[in-house]
Amino acid sequence: MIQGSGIQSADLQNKMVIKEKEITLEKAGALLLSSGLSVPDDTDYTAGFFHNRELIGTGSISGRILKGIAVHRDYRGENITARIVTHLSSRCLEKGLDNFFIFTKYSEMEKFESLGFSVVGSVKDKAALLEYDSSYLKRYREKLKNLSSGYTGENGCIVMNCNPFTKGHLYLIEKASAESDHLFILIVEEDKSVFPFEKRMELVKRGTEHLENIDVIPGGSYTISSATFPSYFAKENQHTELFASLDLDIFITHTAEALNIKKRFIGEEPYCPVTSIYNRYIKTLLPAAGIEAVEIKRLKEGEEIISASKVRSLIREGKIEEAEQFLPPVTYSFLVSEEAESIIRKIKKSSSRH
Amino acid sequence: MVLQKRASAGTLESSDTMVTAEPSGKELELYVESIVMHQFGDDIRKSVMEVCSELGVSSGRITVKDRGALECTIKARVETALLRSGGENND
Repeated sequence: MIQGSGIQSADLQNKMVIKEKEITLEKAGALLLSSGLSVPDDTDYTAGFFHNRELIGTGSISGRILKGIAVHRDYRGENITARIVTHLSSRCLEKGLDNFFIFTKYSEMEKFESLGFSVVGSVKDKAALLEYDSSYLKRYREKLKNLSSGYTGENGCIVMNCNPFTKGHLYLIEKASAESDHLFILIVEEDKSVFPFEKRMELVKRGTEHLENIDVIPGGSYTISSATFPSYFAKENQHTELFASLDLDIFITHTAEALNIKKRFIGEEPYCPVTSIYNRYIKTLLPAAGIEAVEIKRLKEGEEIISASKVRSLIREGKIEEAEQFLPPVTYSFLVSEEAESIIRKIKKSSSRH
Repeated sequence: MVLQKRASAGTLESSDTMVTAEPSGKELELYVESIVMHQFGDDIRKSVMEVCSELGVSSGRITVKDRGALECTIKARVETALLRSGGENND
């Protein structure tokens, strides 16, 4: 068990006193970089582990993801990693998080599996996502399997945020519905958009009642969520390619498999750089896994391409009436209702991408 | 005893076990992961169920992440998690 380093494992277990305390991310920076990790962004909490005042280990929490877990090279031995992960996990459990994840390098995946985390998805030689409680992924798959039982034909799928639901979304859904035996519409569940998830979901459901072969369902934690695709919600475009691949690995292995998806439909994306990178990966990774990727041209109203961000900027400018031409009646009547007032106020203050 | 809130006990360190217990409103669900699952998975389940029945816990969700702990360690960790979750004041 004694590795090449100067410290023997008996010392690690019996004599070495390691103290932990909260530190700033800057303090952890050098240790992370020397371990070949990048300094994570958007962290809520960073812990430092000290031996004789020297920083020998660190780990951070960002929302419900543990990341930036590194141990000084002279102190490597899995017990310090275990100590870091225990500390971060206890903190997540205390905060009442239902489930949480570790985002790490592909080469570190096995180490965290041996600590009891289960792999959700991975990008070979690059990155892996693991979860604390594997029963969540099992239940997600079971729920989807129940939904798709009986639909054995050419099932289609669209993943959309609908912030808010526009005529463009409706057009994409109608096209996809016509080209699928059954169509599953997964609405991004992460509540980081200005229109709350429940409302986005409700508007799509009510606006597509005339279509018989569709199910509108929540996307859950495993489809474009803060765990699978944090860049989608971040202001900076960090690691978009990596997370696009990770999100799609999970889509292929779990969502598409459980729903028996044969085609995924996407809307052409001329504006948003994150979505257009994501679309590009859909068009390469899905066909390689036997799932057809169908890109649909955007619907135009006159010369103008319809988009939810266009609608939001009209709202921001106080021109809701001008947005009416881009919206199905359900969305427009919601926007002019009293219930929408607080959302409209928020839009006027914000500038989020999706 | 009825589980009241999410609580955990133990660590992920070698030779230890980390246990989380929480109410679920349904019959007892037990999830066990262990590095010695093949040899001792059933024994671990049995130990956990014994502690549950001793404390009269018949509903809730219990997750056990075992890193090769002895039976007495596992039982002690489960007992602590259950007592913390059930709202007894022995933290």
